Amino acid sequence: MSQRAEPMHETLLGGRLRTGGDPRPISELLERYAAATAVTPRPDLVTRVAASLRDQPEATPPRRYLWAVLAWDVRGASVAFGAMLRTFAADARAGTAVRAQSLALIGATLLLGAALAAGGVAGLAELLRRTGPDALTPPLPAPSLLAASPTPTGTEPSPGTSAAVVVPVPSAIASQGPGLPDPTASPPAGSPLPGASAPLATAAPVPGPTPSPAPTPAPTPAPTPEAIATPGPTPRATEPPATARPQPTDPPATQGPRPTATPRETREPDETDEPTETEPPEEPAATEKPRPDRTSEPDETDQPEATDEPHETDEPEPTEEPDGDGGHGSDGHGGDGAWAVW
Amino acid sequence: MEELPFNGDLAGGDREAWQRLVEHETPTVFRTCYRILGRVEEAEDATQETFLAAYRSIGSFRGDGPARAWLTRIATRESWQRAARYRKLSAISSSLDNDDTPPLGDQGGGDPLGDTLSAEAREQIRQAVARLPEPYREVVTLRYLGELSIAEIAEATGRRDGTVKAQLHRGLERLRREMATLVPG
Repeated sequence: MSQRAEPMHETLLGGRLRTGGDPRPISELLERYAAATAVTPRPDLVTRVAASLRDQPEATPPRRYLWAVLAWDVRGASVAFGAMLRTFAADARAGTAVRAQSLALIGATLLLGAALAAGGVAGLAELLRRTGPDALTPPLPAPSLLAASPTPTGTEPSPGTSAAVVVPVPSAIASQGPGLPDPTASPPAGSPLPGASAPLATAAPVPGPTPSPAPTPAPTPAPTPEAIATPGPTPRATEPPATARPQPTDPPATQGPRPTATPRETREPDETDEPTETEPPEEPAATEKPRPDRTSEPDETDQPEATDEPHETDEPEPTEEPDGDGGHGSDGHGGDGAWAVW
Repeated sequence: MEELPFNGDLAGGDREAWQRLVEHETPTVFRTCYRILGRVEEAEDATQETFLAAYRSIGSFRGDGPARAWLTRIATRESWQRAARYRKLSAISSSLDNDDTPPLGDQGGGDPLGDTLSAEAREQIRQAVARLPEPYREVVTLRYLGELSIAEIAEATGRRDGTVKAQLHRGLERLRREMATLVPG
Protein backbone atom coordinates (compact mmCIF):
# COMPACT_ATOMS: atom_id res chain seq x y z
CA MET A 1 0.00 0.00 0.00
CA SER A 2 2.54 2.53 1.04
CA GLN A 3 4.62 1.70 -1.95
CA ARG A 4 1.68 2.44 -4.16
CA ALA A 5 0.93 5.70 -2.44
CA GLU A 6 4.31 7.21 -2.90
CA PRO A 7 4.17 7.68 -6.63
CA MET A 8 0.67 9.10 -6.49
CA HIS A 9 1.51 11.79 -3.99
CA GLU A 10 4.82 12.59 -5.51
CA THR A 11 3.53 12.89 -9.01
CA LEU A 12 0.17 14.51 -8.41
CA LEU A 13 0.46 16.42 -5.18
CA GLY A 14 4.17 16.91 -4.79
CA GLY A 15 4.13 15.71 -1.20
CA ARG A 16 1.74 18.43 -0.04
CA LEU A 17 -0.38 15.89 1.75
CA ARG A 18 2.38 15.12 4.21
CA THR A 19 3.19 18.64 5.25
CA GLY A 20 0.25 20.97 4.94
CA GLY A 21 -2.99 20.98 6.90
CA ASP A 22 -4.86 22.47 3.99
CA PRO A 23 -7.43 20.06 2.60
CA ARG A 24 -7.33 21.70 -0.81
CA PRO A 25 -4.83 19.19 -2.20
CA ILE A 26 -7.20 16.41 -1.30
CA SER A 27 -10.03 18.33 -2.86
CA GLU A 28 -8.03 18.71 -6.05
CA LEU A 29 -7.13 15.05 -5.99
CA LEU A 30 -10.79 14.07 -5.66
CA GLU A 31 -11.75 16.37 -8.50
CA ARG A 32 -9.12 14.79 -10.69
CA TYR A 33 -10.34 11.38 -9.70
CA ALA A 34 -13.90 12.35 -10.66
CA ALA A 35 -12.69 13.71 -13.98
CA ALA A 36 -10.69 10.58 -14.70
CA THR A 37 -13.70 8.37 -14.01
CA ALA A 38 -16.30 10.40 -15.87
CA VAL A 39 -17.48 7.44 -17.87
CA THR A 40 -20.69 6.93 -19.75
CA PRO A 41 -22.72 3.78 -19.38
CA ARG A 42 -23.43 1.31 -22.10
CA PRO A 43 -26.51 2.21 -24.11
CA ASP A 44 -28.29 -0.94 -23.09
CA LEU A 45 -28.11 0.02 -19.43
CA VAL A 46 -31.03 2.40 -19.76
CA THR A 47 -33.10 -0.29 -21.42
CA ARG A 48 -32.12 -2.79 -18.78
CA VAL A 49 -33.05 -0.48 -15.91
CA ALA A 50 -36.32 0.50 -17.54
CA ALA A 51 -37.19 -3.13 -18.06
CA SER A 52 -36.50 -3.95 -14.44
CA LEU A 53 -38.77 -1.14 -13.37
CA ARG A 54 -41.43 -2.34 -15.74
CA ASP A 55 -41.32 -5.73 -14.11
CA GLN A 56 -41.90 -4.24 -10.74
CA PRO A 57 -45.45 -4.47 -9.43
CA GLU A 58 -47.41 -1.32 -9.33
CA ALA A 59 -46.45 0.81 -6.38
CA THR A 60 -49.82 0.91 -4.70
CA PRO A 61 -50.04 2.45 -1.24
CA PRO A 62 -50.24 -0.93 0.52
CA ARG A 63 -47.15 -2.15 -1.34
CA ARG A 64 -45.29 1.02 -0.63
CA TYR A 65 -46.21 0.69 3.00
CA LEU A 66 -44.92 -2.87 3.17
CA TRP A 67 -41.74 -1.95 1.33
CA ALA A 68 -41.14 0.91 3.70
CA VAL A 69 -41.77 -1.23 6.76
CA LEU A 70 -39.45 -3.94 5.50
CA ALA A 71 -36.81 -1.31 4.80
CA TRP A 72 -37.32 0.30 8.24
CA ASP A 73 -38.15 3.53 6.46
CA VAL A 74 -40.24 5.36 9.00
CA ARG A 75 -40.87 8.36 6.82
CA GLY A 76 -41.84 6.27 3.85
CA ALA A 77 -44.06 4.11 6.01
CA SER A 78 -45.85 7.10 7.46
CA VAL A 79 -46.35 8.60 4.03
CA ALA A 80 -47.64 5.31 2.68
CA PHE A 81 -49.92 4.93 5.66
CA GLY A 82 -51.43 8.30 4.91
CA ALA A 83 -51.83 7.27 1.30
CA MET A 84 -53.59 4.12 2.39
CA LEU A 85 -55.98 6.12 4.52
CA ARG A 86 -56.75 8.39 1.61
CA THR A 87 -57.13 5.44 -0.71
CA PHE A 88 -59.54 3.70 1.58
CA ALA A 89 -61.51 6.76 2.52
CA ALA A 90 -61.71 8.96 -0.52
CA ASP A 91 -60.11 7.43 -3.56
CA ALA A 92 -62.93 6.13 -5.65
CA ARG A 93 -60.58 5.28 -8.49
CA ALA A 94 -58.72 2.74 -6.43
CA GLY A 95 -59.65 -0.84 -7.05
CA THR A 96 -61.50 -2.91 -4.56
CA ALA A 97 -58.46 -5.05 -3.94
CA VAL A 98 -56.29 -2.07 -3.16
CA ARG A 99 -58.87 -0.64 -0.83
CA ALA A 100 -59.26 -3.97 0.91
CA GLN A 101 -55.51 -4.26 1.27
CA SER A 102 -55.37 -0.76 2.67
CA LEU A 103 -58.08 -1.52 5.17
CA ALA A 104 -56.38 -4.73 6.25
CA LEU A 105 -53.02 -3.06 6.71
CA ILE A 106 -54.54 -0.13 8.54
CA GLY A 107 -56.34 -2.47 10.89
CA ALA A 108 -53.28 -4.60 11.43
CA THR A 109 -51.19 -1.54 12.14
CA LEU A 110 -53.69 -0.16 14.62
CA LEU A 111 -54.06 -3.49 16.36
CA LEU A 112 -50.34 -3.90 16.60
CA GLY A 113 -49.97 -0.40 17.95
CA ALA A 114 -52.72 -0.96 20.49
CA ALA A 115 -51.16 -4.23 21.58
CA LEU A 116 -47.79 -2.63 22.01
CA ALA A 117 -49.30 0.23 23.96
CA ALA A 118 -51.25 -2.11 26.22
CA GLY A 119 -48.19 -4.20 26.80
CA GLY A 120 -46.18 -1.15 27.68
CA VAL A 121 -48.82 0.10 30.11
CA ALA A 122 -49.13 -3.31 31.72
CA GLY A 123 -45.40 -3.60 32.09
CA LEU A 124 -45.19 -0.16 33.59
CA ALA A 125 -48.01 -0.91 35.99
CA GLU A 126 -46.33 -4.11 37.04
CA LEU A 127 -43.09 -2.30 37.57
CA LEU A 128 -44.77 0.33 39.68
CA ARG A 129 -46.58 -2.29 41.70
CA ARG A 130 -43.33 -4.01 42.48
CA THR A 131 -41.53 -0.88 43.39
CA GLY A 132 -44.46 0.62 45.31
CA PRO A 133 -44.32 -1.57 48.43
CA ASP A 134 -40.61 -1.08 48.71
CA ALA A 135 -41.06 2.62 48.72
CA LEU A 136 -43.67 2.38 51.45
CA THR A 137 -41.70 0.13 53.73
CA PRO A 138 -39.04 2.61 54.79
CA PRO A 139 -41.31 4.93 56.76
CA LEU A 140 -42.82 2.16 58.83
CA PRO A 141 -41.70 -1.31 59.67
CA ALA A 142 -42.54 -3.44 56.72
CA PRO A 143 -43.84 -6.46 58.58
CA SER A 144 -46.45 -4.58 60.49
CA LEU A 145 -47.79 -2.98 57.37
CA LEU A 146 -47.96 -6.20 55.52
CA ALA A 147 -49.51 -7.95 58.42
CA ALA A 148 -52.21 -5.40 58.83
CA SER A 149 -53.37 -5.61 55.28
CA PRO A 150 -53.70 -9.35 55.09
CA THR A 151 -55.61 -9.65 58.31
CA PRO A 152 -58.85 -8.33 56.96
CA THR A 153 -58.63 -9.84 53.57
CA GLY A 154 -56.87 -12.98 54.50
CA THR A 155 -54.50 -12.84 51.59
CA GLU A 156 -51.68 -10.45 50.93
CA PRO A 157 -51.81 -9.77 47.23
CA SER A 158 -55.43 -8.88 46.71
CA PRO A 159 -55.39 -5.11 46.66
CA GLY A 160 -59.10 -4.59 46.65
CA THR A 161 -59.71 -6.55 49.79
CA SER A 162 -56.74 -5.16 51.54
CA ALA A 163 -57.94 -1.67 50.97
CA ALA A 164 -60.60 -1.88 53.60
CA VAL A 165 -58.46 -3.27 56.33
CA VAL A 166 -55.27 -1.75 55.20
CA VAL A 167 -56.66 1.63 55.83
CA PRO A 168 -55.25 1.62 59.31
CA VAL A 169 -51.76 1.07 58.06
CA PRO A 170 -51.83 3.83 55.51
CA SER A 171 -53.27 6.04 58.14
CA ALA A 172 -50.38 5.21 60.33
CA ILE A 173 -47.98 5.93 57.53
CA ALA A 174 -49.71 9.01 56.45
CA SER A 175 -50.06 10.17 59.98
CA GLN A 176 -46.38 10.88 60.03
CA GLY A 177 -46.52 13.15 57.04
CA PRO A 178 -49.82 13.70 55.30
CA GLY A 179 -53.10 13.70 57.11
CA LEU A 180 -56.01 12.30 55.19
CA PRO A 181 -56.54 9.24 57.29
CA ASP A 182 -55.26 10.85 60.38
CA PRO A 183 -57.54 13.81 60.43
CA THR A 184 -60.20 11.68 61.94
CA ALA A 185 -57.95 10.30 64.57
CA SER A 186 -55.52 13.11 64.95
CA PRO A 187 -57.83 15.86 66.17
CA PRO A 188 -58.30 14.30 69.55
CA ALA A 189 -54.74 13.14 69.77
CA GLY A 190 -53.12 15.16 72.43
CA SER A 191 -49.59 14.05 71.72
CA PRO A 192 -49.35 11.72 74.63
CA LEU A 193 -46.02 10.31 73.59
CA PRO A 194 -43.28 12.72 72.77
CA GLY A 195 -41.13 10.30 70.83
CA ALA A 196 -43.67 9.26 68.25
CA SER A 197 -44.83 12.28 66.38
CA ALA A 198 -47.92 11.42 64.41
CA PRO A 199 -48.58 7.82 65.25
CA LEU A 200 -48.50 8.53 68.87
CA ALA A 201 -50.97 11.26 68.44
CA THR A 202 -53.27 8.90 66.72
CA ALA A 203 -52.79 6.37 69.43
CA ALA A 204 -53.68 8.73 72.16
CA PRO A 205 -57.16 9.35 70.92
CA VAL A 206 -57.83 5.68 70.62
CA PRO A 207 -58.09 5.05 74.26
CA GLY A 208 -60.84 7.55 74.68
CA PRO A 209 -63.44 5.75 72.66
CA THR A 210 -62.11 2.24 73.13
CA PRO A 211 -62.16 1.88 76.86
CA SER A 212 -65.09 -0.43 76.66
CA PRO A 213 -63.40 -2.95 74.37
CA ALA A 214 -60.30 -2.93 76.45
CA PRO A 215 -61.87 -4.63 79.39
CA THR A 216 -63.43 -7.31 77.26
CA PRO A 217 -60.18 -8.57 75.90
CA ALA A 218 -58.58 -8.47 79.27
CA PRO A 219 -60.32 -11.53 80.58
CA THR A 220 -59.23 -13.72 77.71
CA PRO A 221 -55.52 -13.13 78.09
CA ALA A 222 -55.02 -16.52 79.59
CA PRO A 223 -53.02 -17.73 76.59
CA THR A 224 -49.55 -16.56 75.85
CA PRO A 225 -49.05 -12.83 75.81
CA GLU A 226 -47.65 -12.97 72.35
CA ALA A 227 -50.86 -14.06 70.81
CA ILE A 228 -52.64 -11.32 72.54
CA ALA A 229 -51.17 -8.42 70.76
CA THR A 230 -52.68 -8.20 67.33
CA PRO A 231 -56.21 -9.35 67.83
CA GLY A 232 -57.01 -6.47 70.09
CA PRO A 233 -57.05 -3.78 67.47
CA THR A 234 -58.53 -5.74 64.65
CA PRO A 235 -61.62 -6.98 66.43
CA ARG A 236 -62.27 -3.59 67.79
CA ALA A 237 -62.08 -2.05 64.43
CA THR A 238 -64.45 -4.50 62.87
CA GLU A 239 -66.99 -5.38 65.45
CA PRO A 240 -65.80 -5.54 68.97
CA PRO A 241 -68.10 -8.09 70.41
CA ALA A 242 -69.31 -10.35 67.67
CA THR A 243 -66.76 -10.61 64.95
CA ALA A 244 -63.66 -10.21 66.97
CA ARG A 245 -64.32 -13.05 69.31
CA PRO A 246 -65.26 -15.64 66.76
CA GLN A 247 -62.00 -15.04 65.03
CA PRO A 248 -59.95 -15.74 68.09
CA THR A 249 -61.76 -19.01 68.45
CA ASP A 250 -60.46 -20.15 65.12
CA PRO A 251 -56.97 -18.87 65.53
CA PRO A 252 -56.30 -20.56 68.84
CA ALA A 253 -55.96 -23.88 67.19
CA THR A 254 -53.52 -22.40 64.79
CA GLN A 255 -51.98 -20.28 67.43
CA GLY A 256 -50.76 -23.35 69.17
CA PRO A 257 -48.01 -23.89 66.64
CA ARG A 258 -47.42 -20.24 66.22
CA PRO A 259 -46.21 -19.57 69.69
CA THR A 260 -43.17 -21.53 68.72
CA ALA A 261 -42.36 -18.84 66.27
CA THR A 262 -41.05 -16.11 68.48
CA PRO A 263 -41.54 -13.05 66.25
CA ARG A 264 -44.90 -11.56 66.82
CA GLU A 265 -44.97 -9.71 63.54
CA THR A 266 -44.71 -12.81 61.47
CA ARG A 267 -47.47 -14.44 63.35
CA GLU A 268 -49.81 -11.61 62.83
CA PRO A 269 -50.32 -12.17 59.17
CA ASP A 270 -51.00 -15.80 59.82
CA GLU A 271 -53.55 -15.07 62.39
CA THR A 272 -55.23 -12.66 60.18
CA ASP A 273 -55.22 -15.16 57.42
CA GLU A 274 -56.83 -17.81 59.48
CA PRO A 275 -59.79 -15.81 60.56
CA THR A 276 -60.44 -14.80 57.05
CA GLU A 277 -60.35 -18.36 55.96
CA THR A 278 -62.72 -19.53 58.60
CA GLU A 279 -65.15 -16.72 58.21
CA PRO A 280 -64.65 -14.91 54.99
CA PRO A 281 -68.10 -13.42 54.79
CA GLU A 282 -67.99 -11.98 58.26
CA GLU A 283 -64.68 -10.35 57.78
CA PRO A 284 -65.55 -8.36 54.76
CA ALA A 285 -68.49 -7.00 56.58
CA ALA A 286 -66.30 -6.28 59.50
CA THR A 287 -63.77 -4.63 57.34
CA GLU A 288 -66.35 -2.58 55.61
CA LYS A 289 -67.83 -1.48 58.83
CA PRO A 290 -64.60 -0.22 60.23
CA ARG A 291 -64.50 2.67 57.89
CA PRO A 292 -67.85 4.01 58.89
CA ASP A 293 -66.82 3.22 62.39
CA ARG A 294 -63.64 5.02 61.79
CA THR A 295 -65.47 8.08 60.89
CA SER A 296 -67.46 7.71 64.03
CA GLU A 297 -64.65 6.15 65.96
CA PRO A 298 -61.60 6.52 63.84
CA ASP A 299 -59.12 6.05 66.60
CA GLU A 300 -60.32 2.70 67.69
CA THR A 301 -60.05 0.91 64.44
CA ASP A 302 -57.09 2.31 62.69
CA GLN A 303 -54.99 3.88 65.28
CA PRO A 304 -54.41 0.95 67.52
CA GLU A 305 -52.53 -0.92 64.86
CA ALA A 306 -50.60 2.04 63.67
CA THR A 307 -49.74 3.21 67.09
CA ASP A 308 -49.03 -0.22 68.33
CA GLU A 309 -45.56 -0.37 67.01
CA PRO A 310 -44.18 2.63 68.76
CA HIS A 311 -45.96 1.94 72.03
CA GLU A 312 -45.09 -1.65 72.42
CA THR A 313 -42.44 -0.83 74.88
CA ASP A 314 -44.83 0.93 77.17
CA GLU A 315 -47.20 -1.80 78.07
CA PRO A 316 -47.67 -4.24 75.33
CA GLU A 317 -48.85 -7.21 77.24
CA PRO A 318 -51.82 -5.73 78.98
CA THR A 319 -53.20 -4.53 75.76
CA GLU A 320 -52.20 -7.66 74.04
CA GLU A 321 -54.13 -9.83 76.36
CA PRO A 322 -57.42 -8.59 75.15
CA ASP A 323 -56.10 -8.79 71.66
CA GLY A 324 -54.57 -12.11 72.27
CA ASP A 325 -57.85 -13.57 71.27
CA GLY A 326 -57.45 -12.28 67.84
CA GLY A 327 -53.82 -12.32 66.94
CA HIS A 328 -50.25 -12.45 67.99
CA GLY A 329 -47.94 -10.32 66.07
CA SER A 330 -47.98 -6.80 64.87
CA ASP A 331 -51.31 -5.95 66.32
CA GLY A 332 -49.89 -6.79 69.65
CA HIS A 333 -47.29 -4.18 69.07
CA GLY A 334 -49.69 -1.55 67.98
CA GLY A 335 -52.28 -2.48 70.53
CA ASP A 336 -49.66 -2.30 73.16
CA GLY A 337 -48.91 1.23 72.32
CA ALA A 338 -52.51 2.29 72.33
CA TRP A 339 -53.31 0.54 75.54
CA ALA A 340 -50.14 1.72 77.06
CA VAL A 341 -51.21 5.23 76.53
CA TRP A 342 -54.29 4.40 78.39
CA MET B 1 -26.74 18.57 -17.13
CA GLU B 2 -30.31 19.66 -17.21
CA GLU B 3 -32.15 18.90 -14.03
CA LEU B 4 -35.26 16.84 -14.26
CA PRO B 5 -37.68 18.38 -11.82
CA PHE B 6 -39.55 16.07 -9.61
CA ASN B 7 -42.82 15.11 -11.14
CA GLY B 8 -45.72 14.14 -8.99
CA ASP B 9 -46.47 11.33 -11.40
CA LEU B 10 -43.49 9.45 -10.04
CA ALA B 11 -45.17 9.05 -6.70
CA GLY B 12 -48.24 7.69 -8.39
CA GLY B 13 -46.21 5.07 -10.21
CA ASP B 14 -46.63 6.60 -13.65
CA ARG B 15 -44.60 4.37 -16.00
CA GLU B 16 -43.83 7.10 -18.47
CA ALA B 17 -42.58 9.42 -15.77
CA TRP B 18 -40.26 6.74 -14.49
CA GLN B 19 -39.06 5.99 -18.00
CA ARG B 20 -38.12 9.62 -18.46
CA LEU B 21 -36.34 9.67 -15.15
CA VAL B 22 -34.32 6.57 -16.05
CA GLU B 23 -33.28 7.94 -19.41
CA HIS B 24 -32.29 11.24 -17.92
CA GLU B 25 -30.49 10.19 -14.75
CA THR B 26 -28.95 6.83 -15.58
CA PRO B 27 -25.59 8.27 -16.73
CA THR B 28 -25.22 10.32 -13.55
CA VAL B 29 -26.16 7.43 -11.31
CA PHE B 30 -23.87 5.08 -13.17
CA ARG B 31 -20.88 7.42 -12.86
CA THR B 32 -21.40 7.78 -9.15
CA CYS B 33 -21.61 4.03 -8.70
CA TYR B 34 -18.60 3.46 -10.86
CA ARG B 35 -16.47 5.92 -8.90
CA ILE B 36 -17.29 4.11 -5.71
CA LEU B 37 -17.05 0.55 -6.95
CA GLY B 38 -14.45 0.81 -9.67
CA ARG B 39 -15.98 -1.95 -11.77
CA VAL B 40 -18.34 -1.57 -14.66
CA GLU B 41 -20.41 -4.65 -13.95
CA GLU B 42 -20.82 -3.76 -10.32
CA ALA B 43 -21.67 -0.19 -11.22
CA GLU B 44 -24.35 -1.33 -13.65
CA ASP B 45 -25.92 -3.60 -11.08
CA ALA B 46 -25.77 -0.84 -8.52
CA THR B 47 -27.42 1.54 -10.96
CA GLN B 48 -30.28 -0.84 -11.53
CA GLU B 49 -30.72 -1.41 -7.80
CA THR B 50 -30.68 2.32 -7.24
CA PHE B 51 -33.65 2.87 -9.48
CA LEU B 52 -35.51 -0.06 -7.99
CA ALA B 53 -34.90 1.25 -4.50
CA ALA B 54 -36.06 4.67 -5.58
CA TYR B 55 -39.19 3.18 -7.08
CA ARG B 56 -39.98 1.38 -3.84
CA SER B 57 -39.20 4.29 -1.58
CA ILE B 58 -40.68 7.09 -3.61
CA GLY B 59 -42.73 7.93 -0.54
CA SER B 60 -39.60 9.02 1.28
CA PHE B 61 -38.79 11.61 -1.37
CA ARG B 62 -39.67 15.09 -0.18
CA GLY B 63 -40.54 16.13 -3.70
CA ASP B 64 -39.49 19.72 -3.19
CA GLY B 65 -36.55 19.65 -5.60
CA PRO B 66 -34.89 17.82 -8.43
CA ALA B 67 -34.70 14.08 -8.17
CA ARG B 68 -31.02 13.90 -9.05
CA ALA B 69 -29.74 14.63 -5.55
CA TRP B 70 -32.19 12.13 -4.10
CA LEU B 71 -31.17 9.48 -6.62
CA THR B 72 -27.48 10.18 -6.10
CA ARG B 73 -27.83 9.69 -2.40
CA ILE B 74 -29.55 6.36 -2.95
CA ALA B 75 -26.82 5.41 -5.40
CA THR B 76 -24.04 6.17 -2.93
CA ARG B 77 -25.69 4.11 -0.23
CA GLU B 78 -26.27 1.21 -2.55
CA SER B 79 -22.72 1.37 -3.85
CA TRP B 80 -21.09 1.53 -0.42
CA GLN B 81 -23.20 -1.38 0.72
CA ARG B 82 -22.12 -3.29 -2.30
CA ALA B 83 -18.52 -2.44 -1.64
CA ALA B 84 -18.82 -3.54 1.96
CA ARG B 85 -20.24 -6.84 0.84
CA TYR B 86 -16.94 -7.70 -0.65
CA ARG B 87 -15.30 -6.96 2.66
CA LYS B 88 -12.14 -6.04 0.86
CA LEU B 89 -12.10 -3.16 -1.50
CA SER B 90 -8.80 -4.38 -2.74
CA ALA B 91 -10.51 -7.55 -3.85
CA ILE B 92 -12.99 -5.50 -5.79
CA SER B 93 -10.28 -3.56 -7.50
CA SER B 94 -8.02 -6.55 -7.98
CA SER B 95 -9.34 -6.80 -11.49
CA LEU B 96 -8.98 -3.09 -11.93
CA ASP B 97 -6.62 -3.58 -14.78
CA ASN B 98 -9.31 -5.36 -16.71
CA ASP B 99 -12.32 -3.22 -15.82
CA ASP B 100 -11.01 0.20 -14.99
CA THR B 101 -11.12 1.38 -18.53
CA PRO B 102 -14.28 3.22 -19.35
CA PRO B 103 -16.67 1.19 -21.45
CA LEU B 104 -17.41 4.00 -23.88
CA GLY B 105 -15.36 7.07 -24.67
CA ASP B 106 -16.08 10.35 -23.00
CA GLN B 107 -13.26 10.00 -20.55
CA GLY B 108 -11.60 12.68 -18.53
CA GLY B 109 -13.83 15.56 -19.49
CA GLY B 110 -10.87 17.53 -20.75
CA ASP B 111 -8.85 17.37 -17.55
CA PRO B 112 -5.24 17.04 -18.62
CA LEU B 113 -4.24 15.59 -15.27
CA GLY B 114 -6.98 13.04 -15.29
CA ASP B 115 -4.95 10.60 -17.27
CA THR B 116 -2.13 10.80 -14.78
CA LEU B 117 -4.19 8.96 -12.15
CA SER B 118 -3.11 5.40 -12.34
CA ALA B 119 -5.31 2.50 -11.45
CA GLU B 120 -3.39 2.16 -8.20
CA ALA B 121 -3.99 5.76 -7.29
CA ARG B 122 -7.69 5.40 -7.98
CA GLU B 123 -7.86 2.36 -5.80
CA GLN B 124 -6.13 4.17 -2.97
CA ILE B 125 -8.54 7.05 -3.22
CA ARG B 126 -11.51 4.72 -3.11
CA GLN B 127 -10.09 2.93 -0.10
CA ALA B 128 -9.35 6.15 1.71
CA VAL B 129 -12.86 7.46 1.14
CA ALA B 130 -14.35 4.13 2.14
CA ARG B 131 -12.56 4.31 5.48
CA LEU B 132 -14.07 7.69 6.34
CA PRO B 133 -16.67 7.54 9.09
CA GLU B 134 -20.16 8.81 8.55
CA PRO B 135 -21.35 11.43 7.87
CA TYR B 136 -18.06 12.54 6.36
CA ARG B 137 -17.98 9.74 3.85
CA GLU B 138 -21.48 10.53 2.67
CA VAL B 139 -20.77 14.22 2.25
CA VAL B 140 -17.44 13.72 0.52
CA THR B 141 -18.94 11.11 -1.76
CA LEU B 142 -21.91 13.23 -2.70
CA ARG B 143 -19.74 16.27 -3.30
CA TYR B 144 -16.89 14.79 -5.34
CA LEU B 145 -18.08 11.41 -6.60
CA GLY B 146 -21.70 12.43 -7.06
CA GLU B 147 -20.83 15.91 -8.26
CA LEU B 148 -23.50 17.58 -6.18
CA SER B 149 -23.31 21.13 -4.95
CA ILE B 150 -23.39 22.07 -1.29
CA ALA B 151 -26.99 23.20 -1.63
CA GLU B 152 -27.99 19.95 -3.29
CA ILE B 153 -26.32 17.91 -0.58
CA ALA B 154 -28.03 19.96 2.07
CA GLU B 155 -31.34 19.42 0.38
CA ALA B 156 -30.84 15.71 -0.11
CA THR B 157 -29.65 15.07 3.41
CA GLY B 158 -31.91 17.52 5.15
CA ARG B 159 -28.99 19.36 6.74
CA ARG B 160 -28.05 22.99 6.72
CA ASP B 161 -25.55 24.34 4.28
CA GLY B 162 -23.21 25.28 7.08
CA THR B 163 -23.40 21.80 8.51
CA VAL B 164 -22.62 20.30 5.13
CA LYS B 165 -19.66 22.62 4.67
CA ALA B 166 -18.28 21.80 8.10
CA GLN B 167 -18.70 18.10 7.56
CA LEU B 168 -17.09 18.36 4.15
CA HIS B 169 -14.13 20.25 5.56
CA ARG B 170 -13.65 17.74 8.37
CA GLY B 171 -14.04 14.90 5.94
CA LEU B 172 -11.33 16.27 3.72
CA GLU B 173 -9.17 16.82 6.77
CA ARG B 174 -9.59 13.22 7.79
CA LEU B 175 -8.99 12.12 4.26
CA ARG B 176 -5.79 14.09 4.15
CA ARG B 177 -4.55 12.37 7.31
CA GLU B 178 -5.70 9.05 5.93
CA MET B 179 -3.81 9.60 2.73
CA ALA B 180 -0.78 10.85 4.61
CA THR B 181 -0.53 7.59 6.50
CA LEU B 182 -0.17 5.82 3.22
CA VAL B 183 3.01 7.71 2.57
CA PRO B 184 6.00 6.41 4.53
CA GLY B 185 8.05 8.89 6.51
